[in-house]
Amino acid sequence: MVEQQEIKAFFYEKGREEPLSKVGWWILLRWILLGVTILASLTGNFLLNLNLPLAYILFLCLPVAFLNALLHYQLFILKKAPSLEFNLVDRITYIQFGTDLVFIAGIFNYTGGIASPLLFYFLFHVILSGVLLERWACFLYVSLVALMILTLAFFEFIGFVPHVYSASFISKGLQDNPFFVLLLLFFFLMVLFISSSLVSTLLKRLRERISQLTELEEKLEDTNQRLEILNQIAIDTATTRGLTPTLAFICGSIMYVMGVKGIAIRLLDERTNQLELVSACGLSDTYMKKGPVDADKSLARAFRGEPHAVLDVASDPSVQYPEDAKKEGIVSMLSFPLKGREKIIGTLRLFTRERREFTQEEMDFVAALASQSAISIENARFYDALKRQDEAKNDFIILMTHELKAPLTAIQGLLDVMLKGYVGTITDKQKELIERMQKRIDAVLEVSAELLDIYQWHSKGIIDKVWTSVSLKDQIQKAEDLFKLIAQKKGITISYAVPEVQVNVKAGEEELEKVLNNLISNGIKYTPTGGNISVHLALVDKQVILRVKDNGIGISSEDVPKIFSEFFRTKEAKKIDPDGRGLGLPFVKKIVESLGGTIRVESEKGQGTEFIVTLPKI
Amino acid sequence: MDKPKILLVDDDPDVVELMRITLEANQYQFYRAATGPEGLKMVKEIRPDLIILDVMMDTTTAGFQVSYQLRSNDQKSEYREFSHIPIIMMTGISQKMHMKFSPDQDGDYLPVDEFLEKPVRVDPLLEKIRKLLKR
Repeated sequence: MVEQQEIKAFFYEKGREEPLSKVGWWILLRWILLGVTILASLTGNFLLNLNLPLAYILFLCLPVAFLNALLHYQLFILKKAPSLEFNLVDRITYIQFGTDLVFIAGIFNYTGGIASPLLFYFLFHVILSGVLLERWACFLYVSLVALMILTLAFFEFIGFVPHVYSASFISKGLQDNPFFVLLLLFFFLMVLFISSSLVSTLLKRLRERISQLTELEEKLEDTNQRLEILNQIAIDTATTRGLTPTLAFICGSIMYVMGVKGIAIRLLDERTNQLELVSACGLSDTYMKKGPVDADKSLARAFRGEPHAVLDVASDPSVQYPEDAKKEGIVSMLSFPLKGREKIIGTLRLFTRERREFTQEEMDFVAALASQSAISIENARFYDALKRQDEAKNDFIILMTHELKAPLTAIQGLLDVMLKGYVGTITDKQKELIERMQKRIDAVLEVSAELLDIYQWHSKGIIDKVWTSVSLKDQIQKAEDLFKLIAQKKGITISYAVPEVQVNVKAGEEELEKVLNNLISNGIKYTPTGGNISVHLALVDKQVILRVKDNGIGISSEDVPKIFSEFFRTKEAKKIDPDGRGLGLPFVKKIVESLGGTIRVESEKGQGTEFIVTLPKI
Repeated sequence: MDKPKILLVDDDPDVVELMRITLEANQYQFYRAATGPEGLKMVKEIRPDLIILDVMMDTTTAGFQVSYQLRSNDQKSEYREFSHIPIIMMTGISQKMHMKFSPDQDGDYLPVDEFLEKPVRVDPLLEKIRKLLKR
């Protein structure tokens, strides 16, 4: 809709600037001619001793100058005005022609009548009228000029108006000869009529060409818009920005480009064989809620796969709600099938206010949009289905894990009770076996705890988590204490480097603990004895960067992209720790991302691994 | 002196059994309630010296609800005279992570005195009970 306004405004600007610039040009021309007239009269009188009636000429120039100043001011205001009435510009044009005519006639009379060198002023004016006026108005104007010149000549002839003798290309004797004057007038008027006719003919052709060009330009713009819309929809289809906005965009675009009243997209509900409205624009609420739409009525043909036009809803018996359509102001409808990959999933329909037949080109365009819409809808449906399945899977895993955990927890406790001898003395062998059982149960409980961790985050995320400001330095200190002995035992050196200042992030202590412990314990696990691990914390701009680097076994380049996938483990890691489950790093990634950060890994096989965590600083 | 009374609120019969054996073997009087409301009723009846709550019974936060009732700040609460009774909360590791309260934060409203991670092992259980009863 915004674009539409922009386009309108654009054409409006063009329409407004053109007549205004012509008026401006004309006003400027008048200033020049006024100046030239005054200068020429002064020069004529004082240098050439022509004896022109200077007082009359200047007296004539005065009101014209005043009027021109007025017009100039008016133009200045009009240029600033937010809106422009074309009538006003027309009126100004007529006023200018009228006053100019009187002015030129006066000057003409006082500078020698038919013998005046200013005779050619009329030529300017006639050409100007050819440019500015309609053809008929131009001829009318030229006729007026002719009539006026003839009248003046006649008045001079009968002595009603005195003849001024000025320097002329015509000798004084000839100026007195009525036949010569008539001949001169005849030729002059011929020149006027012919030039005005030529100018207006040329301009008419020019205008025609311009309007053809404008039409072509508009067509081109239409085509461009269509291509752009198709492109946008193709992008939407590929990225799935959500079905609702995509369909709304499709509806709005078709309505705008095709210039129709409204659009409706309906999808088939297979249980009821009815078409449910999923997106529409340009239609009233009442019309959209008029009632269920059957797939075997007016949309039946579209539903069989071919576009179907209803030229007049009032007289077409297939229309299911002719009364509602009439009330809505709908005359014609054009329906297209939405072809999915395997079957037709719905329809797209255009509504027009007037009886309208669409061209093949228009039909092709809408058909292309309809097929794009169908793909969008199917993609979104697949996506939703997958998402639902994924959620169901997560819920199932959470439920199952809880179900498995509860009895194991009880067994573990009961075994402990037996081990303590509360229910009778046990032999050493029994004790050994019970301890073995407990070890195995612990392992399973650990897995289930990890599973719950990761899947509970999957399903609920961290919606109900309240983050606080946590000192990363404190957390690193905790990790240092925790891993000191473990690292010593394996003969690995861990070095820590943290900035002097406090480094706080918005997080939960437990979550940060998990991130740090996971990364450091992985480092210890996959670094051979004698290796080094460095934990490095730094502040860069508004980011906190945590690096955990080891010189252990590393990750091969083909495994690096998979390292954050659930249950993925490299061959090398499996050799070192066969019981690992590949849930640690995915969980770390989830935590980091839910804290608004990122994690990446740099590694080379046999050289070592570096995890780089970036978190927003408080 | 009478044996200290310990009330367990838990719906898992096996956990109840292991707790019963352990606690009775260690000279405690053992009482058991299967649901939150039943637990609250028994608190009034037997006036236990210590309460052990399972965090999750029929709902994920049933245990916490019991402790909130007992520790209510409301002057008119019917459990006011029991608010001093120490409470141990049994949780799974992953459950604790999702609680809004942890012992380090929100001390004023902390509804329990100790957390006990499941699976319940005899030694840490007895240790915590002794610590709380000594107060």
